[in-house]
Amino acid sequence: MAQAELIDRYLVTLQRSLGKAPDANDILAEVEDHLREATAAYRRDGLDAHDAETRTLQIFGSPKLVARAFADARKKKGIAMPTTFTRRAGLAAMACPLALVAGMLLLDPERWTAKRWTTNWYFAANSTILIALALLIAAMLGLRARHGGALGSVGLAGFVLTAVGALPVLLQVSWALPFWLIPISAGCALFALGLLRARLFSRLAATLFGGGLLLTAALALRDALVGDEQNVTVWPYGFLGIAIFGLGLTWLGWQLRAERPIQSSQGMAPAA
Amino acid sequence: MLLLAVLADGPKHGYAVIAELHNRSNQVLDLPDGTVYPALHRLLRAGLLASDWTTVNGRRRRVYRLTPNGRTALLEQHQTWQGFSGAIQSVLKGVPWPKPS
Repeated sequence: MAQAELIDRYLVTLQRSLGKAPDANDILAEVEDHLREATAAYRRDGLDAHDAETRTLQIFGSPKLVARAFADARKKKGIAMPTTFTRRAGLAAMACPLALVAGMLLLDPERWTAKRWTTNWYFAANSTILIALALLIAAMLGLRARHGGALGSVGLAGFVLTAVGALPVLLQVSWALPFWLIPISAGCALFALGLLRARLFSRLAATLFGGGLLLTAALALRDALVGDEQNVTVWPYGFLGIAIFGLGLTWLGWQLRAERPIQSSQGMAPAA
Repeated sequence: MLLLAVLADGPKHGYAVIAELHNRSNQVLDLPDGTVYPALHRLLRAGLLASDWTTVNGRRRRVYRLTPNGRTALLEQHQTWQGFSGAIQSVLKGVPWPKPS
């Protein structure tokens, strides 16, 4: 059998085994380069063309085995490599709910203390909420890095929406709750959807994280629509949503923070 | 960790990565070559590796390189592995670890 024929037949079989893999062409090009180069190396070692090619294909593995390995690698979500960054992001995730609750309390001091509302209170509230949102974005970046791109476009959309939602707070208009709570809660919900699909961390934690702020945002929207300037629904019921969100995010942060590299190597091929 | 370590010296294409893996392990790590590529692709998707395509002898060739995140991950995994293997060694040898100075 001619040398090229063996490799060509292998590649045809591999192409069939890969099916509709999105990167099939790249895989085939890479495999072909490997097979040709390995064969050339065996030829230099003195094997004839047929033996060189046969040996190359034996060592490479059957098309079915290779295609299955690619399919398995594609299914595996995330990568087993917690880094200093992802562990710091875990801390940010745990600190975010505390800062958010503090900011929301500062936003309306007359309701909670005997203090009169002043612009200083508002500045403190806005700054604290801004810190909370910065921590939230850092946490999301860490979660995204930890999942190795497995959150997909849904996770990315959630992250972008959350970042956009932080802009009104950056512009000092945190008093207009729906303006920032709605995009941020929608962003967290989308991001949580990505987490749920990735199945790397607790699904309950992701659900709490994604659903909690939706409740608060819905209440804030209700108050805005009925013209309730006192936000009687948001206070105190909106805090229930923040508490649910905080519980989920703290849980995710704890999982990010608690991971050690040796434990996180689940699912990795030994060579990786 | 092993793939990251092999690429720490500089960019390599898949065949060179696998050959280096075999050489450095004195042929002890004897996985089917074809199963190493999916692991490389996972590291790519994780952002620990990056790749560029070139053309060699009329064939498309993918060349892998470590990203800054990959270098950090390698450092962390290396440290963890050293701690882990040191602990195992001391258990096998029956000596306390780390050795008292």
